[in-house]
Amino acid sequence: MTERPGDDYHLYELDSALLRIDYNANVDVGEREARFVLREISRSWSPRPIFVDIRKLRSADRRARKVFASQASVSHVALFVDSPLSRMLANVFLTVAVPERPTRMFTDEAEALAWLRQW
Amino acid sequence: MNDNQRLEALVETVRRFVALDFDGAAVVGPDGDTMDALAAGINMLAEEVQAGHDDLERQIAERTVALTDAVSELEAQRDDLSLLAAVVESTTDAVITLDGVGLITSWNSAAQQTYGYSARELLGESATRLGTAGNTPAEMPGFLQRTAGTRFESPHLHKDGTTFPASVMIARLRGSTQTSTAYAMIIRDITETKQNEVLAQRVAEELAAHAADRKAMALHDALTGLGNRNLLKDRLEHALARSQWSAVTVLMIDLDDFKAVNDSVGHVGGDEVLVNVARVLSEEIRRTDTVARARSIESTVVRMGGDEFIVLLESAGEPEGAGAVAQRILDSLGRPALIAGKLIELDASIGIAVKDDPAMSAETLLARADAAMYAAKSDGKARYRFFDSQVQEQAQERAVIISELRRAICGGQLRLLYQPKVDAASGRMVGVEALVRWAHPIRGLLGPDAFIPLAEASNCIVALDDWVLLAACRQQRTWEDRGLHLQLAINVSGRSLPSGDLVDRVRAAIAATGILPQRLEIEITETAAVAQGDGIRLTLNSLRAMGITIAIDDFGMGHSALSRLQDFPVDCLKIDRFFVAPLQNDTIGHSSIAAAMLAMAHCLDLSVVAEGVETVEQLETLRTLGCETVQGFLLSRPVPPEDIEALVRLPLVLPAASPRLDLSGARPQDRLVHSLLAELQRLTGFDSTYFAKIDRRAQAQRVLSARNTAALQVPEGVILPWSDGTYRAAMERGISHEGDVPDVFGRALVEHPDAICSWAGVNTRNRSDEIVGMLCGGSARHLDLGSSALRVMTSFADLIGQALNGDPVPRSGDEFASDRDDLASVRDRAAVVRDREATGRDELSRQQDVQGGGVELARGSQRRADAAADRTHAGSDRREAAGDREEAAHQRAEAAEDRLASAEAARRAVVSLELMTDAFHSLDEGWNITYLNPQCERILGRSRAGLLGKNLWEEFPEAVNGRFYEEYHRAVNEGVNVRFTEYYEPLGRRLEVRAYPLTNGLAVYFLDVSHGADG
Repeated sequence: MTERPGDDYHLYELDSALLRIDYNANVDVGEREARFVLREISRSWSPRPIFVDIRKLRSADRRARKVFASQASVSHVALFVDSPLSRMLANVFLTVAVPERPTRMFTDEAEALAWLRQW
Repeated sequence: MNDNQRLEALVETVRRFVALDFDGAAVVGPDGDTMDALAAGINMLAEEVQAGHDDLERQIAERTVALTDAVSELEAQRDDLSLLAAVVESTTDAVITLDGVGLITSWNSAAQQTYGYSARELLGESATRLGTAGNTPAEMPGFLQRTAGTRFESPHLHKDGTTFPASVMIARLRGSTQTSTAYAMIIRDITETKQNEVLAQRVAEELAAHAADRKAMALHDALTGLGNRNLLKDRLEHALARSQWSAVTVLMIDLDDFKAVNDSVGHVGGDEVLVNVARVLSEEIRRTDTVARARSIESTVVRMGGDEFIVLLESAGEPEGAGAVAQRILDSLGRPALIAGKLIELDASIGIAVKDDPAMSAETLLARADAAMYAAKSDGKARYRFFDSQVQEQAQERAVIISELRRAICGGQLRLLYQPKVDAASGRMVGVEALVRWAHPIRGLLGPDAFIPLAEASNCIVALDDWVLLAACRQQRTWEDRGLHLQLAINVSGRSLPSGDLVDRVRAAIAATGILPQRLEIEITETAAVAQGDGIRLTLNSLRAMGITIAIDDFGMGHSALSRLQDFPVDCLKIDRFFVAPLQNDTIGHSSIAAAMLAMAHCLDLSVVAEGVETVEQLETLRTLGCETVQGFLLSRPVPPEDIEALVRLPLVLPAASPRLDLSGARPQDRLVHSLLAELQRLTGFDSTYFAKIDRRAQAQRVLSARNTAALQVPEGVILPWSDGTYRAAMERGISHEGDVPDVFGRALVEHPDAICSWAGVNTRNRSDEIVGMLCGGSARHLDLGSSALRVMTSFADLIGQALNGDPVPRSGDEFASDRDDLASVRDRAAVVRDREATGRDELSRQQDVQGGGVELARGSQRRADAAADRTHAGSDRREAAGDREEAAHQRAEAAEDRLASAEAARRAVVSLELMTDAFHSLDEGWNITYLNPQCERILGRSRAGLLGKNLWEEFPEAVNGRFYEEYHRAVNEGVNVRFTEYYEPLGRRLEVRAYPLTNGLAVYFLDVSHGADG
């Protein structure tokens, strides 16, 4: 199982078909960080669905959101949220940044994984 | 911070964001609760708003730039449209725009000019009102569609109802929409073009007619309308071709002494005479045709050129008939005809040749007629002569003589004799004239009359002239080697003059023999000079430029107006013996013609030689008349060269000279003025100098005396009005200098079209300090007219004024009355103050004692020039102070005394050596330096005090080995002027030197020509 641990996140394969990234608590993501993680993904894997846990993420600025919205290194994105803050981040991402890849917000992990696995 | 406080903080943050103040985001806590979510949402929205705002600002900036560019482009397009509109408005073509159905939508100024309608009258009207090809309004759309893009001509209608031809071009205009259609019509009134086309057609027709005339002229003489040489050739060849059954006779007619007739009636009258001769010949030939019609006679009259005509008779008659025709021609020509107000009777010599040999060529027939005509002339003219055996013998004899002469020139049969020219006063031989003789092996010694005419009639004369030139120059060389320095005169035939190589041949002869060109004189007869006219001017000028003098021989026999002499560049007149012979009786009546010739020659600054002096009486009269040089049997017959030396050694003893006839009271003054002008020219480098008298009452000035040697020709006697304000202002300023010749003279006076002229003038004043005249100098090149030249001119102006005021020069009116009165007053005062002049006379004596050196004279001249300047500047003061007037009178009296004492002394005094631009020094017999001027000091780099009285060769020892020593000795020993250029190493300068022998020494001028510098 391939892993790409970073200071702000933990990136790894859930299985041969899925990736998962868990952001650490109180992390603020800017453009640089966004590009870094996407470059890590594209180096190690071909485009595939990804489970993104942003429950502990504090913020992602506009440029980071635009980078994530236009990325091509993954095929589908499931945003896993629970707090009002993470919900706000996901909602703004989905409605304002308008990602190019199919992206959905989940509060249930299994439901999210199920959605990802159907692709 | 509780939730309310957090909420208020968020609200405040939102307010700032609404005010577009994005500094400071809402705080997002670590809990991720609703408030944190709200803060994060607000922050993210603010980011989006800010980004949108920034993007909007960027777009606004970009669009502002684009808008500015668009506005600029629109403005440029608007300017282009304005320019186009201005072009349309200013064009001379009518420019009209039409809509799709032919209604006028615009109308420029030229359209109004062309059609007479204003824009208001025609805008919205149909173009059919302009008469566009007769279309109706309904037809216009189709007409415009058909003719768009074409150019055509059609008649158009003016407002006044007249039509005019117009050139029309119609163009379709692209509108803003695909469906809109408009047209532009450009109409040009081509009335003038059409008229020009008609005119051009007419000119073309005339040219065609003219060409036909020219073709006719190729066979006809333009002056008389008779046939010309070409026609004769054609007719003669045809006549000879059919002469098996007819006789062909040629009459060659040459008018006798036509030149004299021509001179008496002028060239126009001469042409009239020739036309009259043509008429006579034509009438006589018509009469012959009428009489002989039954015998099928055909006649042609042609003019061969000049005064030579030919009648070609073709008939079945006898040759005696040609004699009758010739006699009738002679009779008719002999009848007086009124030409140019004079009754003219003409004689002619006619030669007749008849074809008597079936094989005779046209050339032979014409040659026989020519020989017969020549025989008729030899027989005494005014007659006709058939070609016969005697004529043939004479022609053959002439041919033989010419042939022998050719051999004689090469074969050493020619001889030169030399006839002395003698100074009428002293009897000293001053020159010789070379005269050619032919030592014929059978006929003996032949004079020029026996062969020169034949030589001139053939081409021998040029070779003969060459032989004489070279032989005489060789003899001159021999004489010079033996210490005889004579002026050698050589006769050149008029036939040699037009050939451009005469100058080269003379130059070659001089180079081959090494003689001085200044000792060579070329004599041409007046008849030749007049006959050649302007054609020889260049040749004579070139010869003179070499230093050779030109003499007019046999003067008085050429029937030319005396004034024409001014047109020829000559130095000497030789009065023909015809005018000298009547001087046998010493009466004023017999001598008047010769006296007039002499006076005229002297006025033209020409020397005079009287030829054919055979008696003492003639000599006496000529001397009385002021003739300088005489030649004739009385003095010596032409002698072999070896006798010349003896004649030189033994001067002729001539009868004592009689007191000279005072020909004119004006002459001494005029000649003095002329000499002064010449001297001024020499000193300043001017090509022309003149002295003009100012007449304020007549508002004019008259050129009293002028001396012209180059392009700027100032005529004497010309009266110039004060039309040139600049010139007048310059004159009244006093001393003046201008770069260009004043307009008052006009460019016509400058002969050379490319001449760049400089001019300087200095005015002269009378005793009342009024400007009364002006001394001017002009040059065909720009001179550096510095203060020295003007100072020289000031001195000369003063002296010329004195010369003119000091003697009763004939003048018009009372122009100089005040001057004469003043002079009389001065002379009276001179008697009173004579004692006070003792000092001045002593000074004058001292100056005369040292004339050879000239330094004191020059200083005296300087003092007088300074005094003149002082007088000029202090004129007004003198008028106020009686004592000053006395002093001024004393000074003028002193000057008058100088002048009266010796004109020559005055002339030498004005040389103003101190002021010269040339360096000058003089030497005595022992080569001691007696004078040197400041220029000389400057060039030599030595002071005057250190050189005066010193021996030249000791002071400048390097010169002994150079050309200076050799040439200076030659000048002194041979009494000749020398001129050479030599590099003098000690000074590092190249000097152009001119040395003139004096009675007791040598005068030397030189210029520093090292770098083209003005020494």
